[in-house]
Amino acid sequence: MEKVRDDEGGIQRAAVVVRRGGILIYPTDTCYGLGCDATNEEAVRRIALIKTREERKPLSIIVSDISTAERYVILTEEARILFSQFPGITIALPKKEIIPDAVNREKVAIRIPDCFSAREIARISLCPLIATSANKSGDPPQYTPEGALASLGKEVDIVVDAGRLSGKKPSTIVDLVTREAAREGEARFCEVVKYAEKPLRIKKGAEADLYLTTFLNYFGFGERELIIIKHRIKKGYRASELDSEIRKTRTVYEARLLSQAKMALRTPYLYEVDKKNMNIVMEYIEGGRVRDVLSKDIVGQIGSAIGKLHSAGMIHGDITTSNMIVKNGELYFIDFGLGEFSRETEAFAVDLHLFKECLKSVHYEQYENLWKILCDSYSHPDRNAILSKIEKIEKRGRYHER
Amino acid sequence: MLCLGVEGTAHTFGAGIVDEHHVLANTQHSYMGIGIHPRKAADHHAEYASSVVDDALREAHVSLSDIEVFSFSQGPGMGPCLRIAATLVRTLSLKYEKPMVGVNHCVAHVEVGRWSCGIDDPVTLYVSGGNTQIIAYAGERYRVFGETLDIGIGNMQDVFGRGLGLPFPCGKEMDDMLARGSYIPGLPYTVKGMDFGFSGLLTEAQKRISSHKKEDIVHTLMMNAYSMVVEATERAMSATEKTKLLLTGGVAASPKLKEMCGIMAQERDATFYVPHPSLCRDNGAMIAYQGLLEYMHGKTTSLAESCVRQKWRTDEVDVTWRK
Repeated sequence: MEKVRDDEGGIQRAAVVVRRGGILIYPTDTCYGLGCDATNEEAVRRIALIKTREERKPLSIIVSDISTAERYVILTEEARILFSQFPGITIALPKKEIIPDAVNREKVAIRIPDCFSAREIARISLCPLIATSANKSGDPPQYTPEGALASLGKEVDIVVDAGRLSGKKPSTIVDLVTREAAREGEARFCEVVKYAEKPLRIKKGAEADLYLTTFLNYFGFGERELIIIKHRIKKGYRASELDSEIRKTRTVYEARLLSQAKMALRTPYLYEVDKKNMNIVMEYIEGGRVRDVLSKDIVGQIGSAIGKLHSAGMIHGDITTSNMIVKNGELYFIDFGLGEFSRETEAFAVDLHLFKECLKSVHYEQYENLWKILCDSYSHPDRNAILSKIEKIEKRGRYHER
Repeated sequence: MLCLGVEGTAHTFGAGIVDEHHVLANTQHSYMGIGIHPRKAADHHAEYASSVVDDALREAHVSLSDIEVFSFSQGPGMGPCLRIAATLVRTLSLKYEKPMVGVNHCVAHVEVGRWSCGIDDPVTLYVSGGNTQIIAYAGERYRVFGETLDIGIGNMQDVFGRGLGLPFPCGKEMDDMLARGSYIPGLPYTVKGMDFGFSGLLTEAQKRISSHKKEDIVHTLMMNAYSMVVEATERAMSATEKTKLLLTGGVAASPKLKEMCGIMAQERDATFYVPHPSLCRDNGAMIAYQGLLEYMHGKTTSLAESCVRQKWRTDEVDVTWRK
């Protein structure tokens, strides 16, 4: 095994080794990378062996510039713009034949790293470089050549030593084949979608997928304000009649509740309801999930908000801390998909009971304290009747003392 | 190390013998009546207890003196049934001077599933006559993320099936009818977050018995009920960000439910597991395995602590063995 410095001579030497089918450890803008000529199938298979990684897991590649990228993938105008706007971004695109299936089938994730040495090795060797982190599968990423060697063993041919790397966030990955925003790293999704032609999926939920785009992109006029398209997905396990009945009802009710609930609490603005495609288009609330930032103060706000919602005759139907967002200290309720209009004590109590269950299963450390705060802050003319109804509901369930 | 476990929470009286690696025996005899009459079921258990245990010993080629720890289903379940299993194990423990462990029936279902399928951290959908729960591990407990707000899914099937004159338990027969029926729109579909309820659906289906084909009603009742639990399970998987699904309990025998769980898991890139049917339904082997597991992590149950616990909730068990 050879070790070279991260200078002109070292990079030249590394490029020669790569060109001859060697395996190298090299610095990138994130961690140390393990690489080889991506068009050399044998070398690619060696990488999988060294990493002790399942061979069918896809690998990504590094090139020196946009025009070189064109040799290996089918480059769209959209990808060109993203590469130039977001240095270091990784984009999955349909691959050309020169990239073997051992790297990935049909498509490949490609990146122009924000790191001079990595780009130079690719440029001088005239090869697309495999880019995978220089560590065995399951080990953490390595920021020193010594760490990388300790993790991988000495099965590599050359190491380009650039000392300790600063360890930036990992690269953002966007799959333009499936329109999936797969990993948020250095480049923020909310920025990326402003330059993307079409919406990107940012979340695969249990019953809906969320796509992020801009108002201008979606409607063809207006501002570059961020919007969410919530698409209720077809569930293969449900009978198709039941499935479309449920999806249609929930889409309509959710839209109605999102807009009417504004009289009681904060919800995203509603822009469009598409019953045919089961889509709701609404404002994007950029903030943190309450689940991650729950505090006594927020529980107090939740209690008073739910009290107002119930007083206005509306049921949220799925009150959990994953369905609330805090933006600049203000609490927003999202996901009214299981909501309904009702003035029944029973319905109010079931709604609150859900939140109690959420505290019990997710925020169990502070459950008792938080539940008390919620009850104290819940304001409703029939407060006492509703709270005692919760106990009755619990007793109806299994294994509660009656 | 050999552990003999005795199950007796409801209609099944079972005995199982396990060591650290294998199920050596798993025998049972079930009470057959219309529904479950707790006292009659207990009488049945008392009558068959010794023969079920004898069968287990014969199957495992061991004798009672080889057993190093005894375990029993301490709860939850029907008091009179639980007491038969507890009394038997207390007696064996005293006579052979070996420790005993009282275990939670629901937790045993989850643990034997994890053990037999070789999975670390699943979301478990536990469906049986009395229980319908979505269970996942968090913070040293098995937490119930969702459950029925009223009756168990198997109970719903049996009550409806009884109305049609089907013999107990009705799950198998109703699953066959399901395949022959078609869907009737408009029956209740009750999902409240990750919880669900079957009583409204049951009542509405019963009201319609005279106005629709039996097969169609059964089809709709079961499809709605199964869809509800699968939907809630998917929500729990999404909320906990876990990627493995374990289906267990007596109702896990349903081919339709298995198919639906499989599709759900596949659509979200998760993996679906279901233990062998003999380890899904109520059985002694799971009690034996759970007893052995807890014993190896230092738990024993003293005589004074061995009272049955009819309402012992899944989330009350301190999960010492996964720390």
